[in-house]
Amino acid sequence: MSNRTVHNHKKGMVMLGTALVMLLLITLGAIFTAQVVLRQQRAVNNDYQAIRAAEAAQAGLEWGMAQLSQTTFIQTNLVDVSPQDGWVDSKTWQAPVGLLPVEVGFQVEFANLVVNDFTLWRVSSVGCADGCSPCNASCPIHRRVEQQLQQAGMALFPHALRASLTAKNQVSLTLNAKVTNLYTNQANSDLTVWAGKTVSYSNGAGTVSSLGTQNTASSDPTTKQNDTTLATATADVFFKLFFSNTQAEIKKMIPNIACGVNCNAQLNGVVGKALWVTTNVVLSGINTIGSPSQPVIIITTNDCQISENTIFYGVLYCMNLIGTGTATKVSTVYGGVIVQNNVTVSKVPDVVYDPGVMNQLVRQFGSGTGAGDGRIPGSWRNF
Amino acid sequence: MLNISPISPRAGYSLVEVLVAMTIGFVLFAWMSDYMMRALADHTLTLQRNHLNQELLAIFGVMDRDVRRAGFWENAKSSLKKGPVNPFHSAPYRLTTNNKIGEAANSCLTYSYDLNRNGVLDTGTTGTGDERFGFRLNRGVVEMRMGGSGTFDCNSGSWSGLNSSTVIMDSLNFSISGSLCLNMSKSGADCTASPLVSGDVLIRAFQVVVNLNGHLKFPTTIQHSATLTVQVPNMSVESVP
Repeated sequence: MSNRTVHNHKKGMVMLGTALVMLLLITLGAIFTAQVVLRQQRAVNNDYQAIRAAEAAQAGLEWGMAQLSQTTFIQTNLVDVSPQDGWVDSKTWQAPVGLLPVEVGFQVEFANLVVNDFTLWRVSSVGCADGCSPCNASCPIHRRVEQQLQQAGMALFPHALRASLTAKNQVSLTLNAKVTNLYTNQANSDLTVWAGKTVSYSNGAGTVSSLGTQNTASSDPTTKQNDTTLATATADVFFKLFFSNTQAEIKKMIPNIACGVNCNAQLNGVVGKALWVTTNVVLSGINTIGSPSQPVIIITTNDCQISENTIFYGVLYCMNLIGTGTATKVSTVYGGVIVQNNVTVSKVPDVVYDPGVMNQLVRQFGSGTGAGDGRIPGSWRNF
Repeated sequence: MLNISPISPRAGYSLVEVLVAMTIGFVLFAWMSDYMMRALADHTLTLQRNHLNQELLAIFGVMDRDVRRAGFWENAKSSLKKGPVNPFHSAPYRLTTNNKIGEAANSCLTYSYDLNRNGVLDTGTTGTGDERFGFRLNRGVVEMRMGGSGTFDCNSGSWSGLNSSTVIMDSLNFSISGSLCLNMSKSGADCTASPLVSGDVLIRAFQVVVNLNGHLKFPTTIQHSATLTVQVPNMSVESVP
């Protein structure tokens, strides 16, 4: 007897198997595709982040170069104050808040290329694009660029003087000669007289400051004497406390003139100039040298002798300052005097610190004359 | 005696039902297969295009980063005040377009920069490396110059391929025609504005435009073209002899 039974559950096996195989194939294909796409997306994202980092680094470089065009930035942050070893101390800046999107940033660093030369700069910038903060070379995705710069304008007088009268050695004032600084309560001009050796006032001579009139050097807070920083400095180190380069280099940078018996003819009426005088600077007539809006810088490594009615606006640099006047005649320097050796003043000249003159001098001859534009050709690198 | 088990009318389908179901199933299967094949083909095409695109971008990434360095010199500051001329911007080491023999014109770019920052243009003869670089097209491959102490041109030296073997580069063209040359002795006028005179100081700012065209080895129909513009930050300053 045959017993035929129809098995219903086998009827869909082929379809089910086919569907499962297709599902498997589709799943494998989807996984493979997803992996490939993911890999490509990662590669593209890495490229994108690297490009953003490079652009951020370049933005930092441009920002840094723009800062070098600002006198106050250089004076406040870059000119080495302590230790005065001739090098800009390592200091870094992050991107100002709001300048870039939050996930990118830069770090900028400044350095001078040559010791004691603040006319040549190196600006380095690291850019980051992965939200790494603070941005620096240890961030996973970063790029670095660097540019060297030369100050486009004449860099001569980078910052205002600290004192009305500065002398590397001794200062001796007598017969009512006055050194005035009414701005000694400000951080950058806190002194009237600054000397490497002794300072003496006699016969009514002394200083005038926000504290009043002082006639005794040892008790005058605005008189700083016996400062070994000045006394032990070489001529060039002393010179570069005030100017941007050595005497030899500055002498090459600015016009040189020579005077005869005196400098009345050569200097009377001169405004807005920096001059190197190769002889003694003798001012014995009625002279007006410089003006409040166009002060001058007169440098000589010989002596300055001032005796008559001379009004001087600017900075005077001498080997020795010898002042002799009478009771009726007055000479005044508005700005500052720097003396490489000794000061011996009897009656004249008075020296009056003038911040307006100082600011004008820095504008005319300082470092803020477009350093950011003076890119040295061939000095950009990204490695 | 034949004993046939009684079959319930609900337990199976009639032949017509099965045939109809199979027909519908086959139609659906065919449609789905076709759809899947198209989707797979699209995916494959996208992947292949992405692959080609990625190859070109990767090559441009290398070019952009390296060509920007052209003319870098560690001692650049010494060239101020009429000092020595930047050797990396002097012929034949300055940015120059040419071609390998047998390739299209301007399919090769050569340049140099101070990679080891020793201030000297090293040519591979002193053991300090070779600082002469370049890119060229060579039989469907974009190559980068890796060294070689011989003549510095598009035919000599050691070159290494940048693109994978699955990609063939059809054309590579470098153009520096957009570069600027200013005669600073003539108030910054274009160098071609007037005849150059001995002593004239010229400033050149280089711009390199790169056009690259390639296709996949298989399928060959997948092609891609891309353009890259590189502004070279290091200008050259030279005095007319």
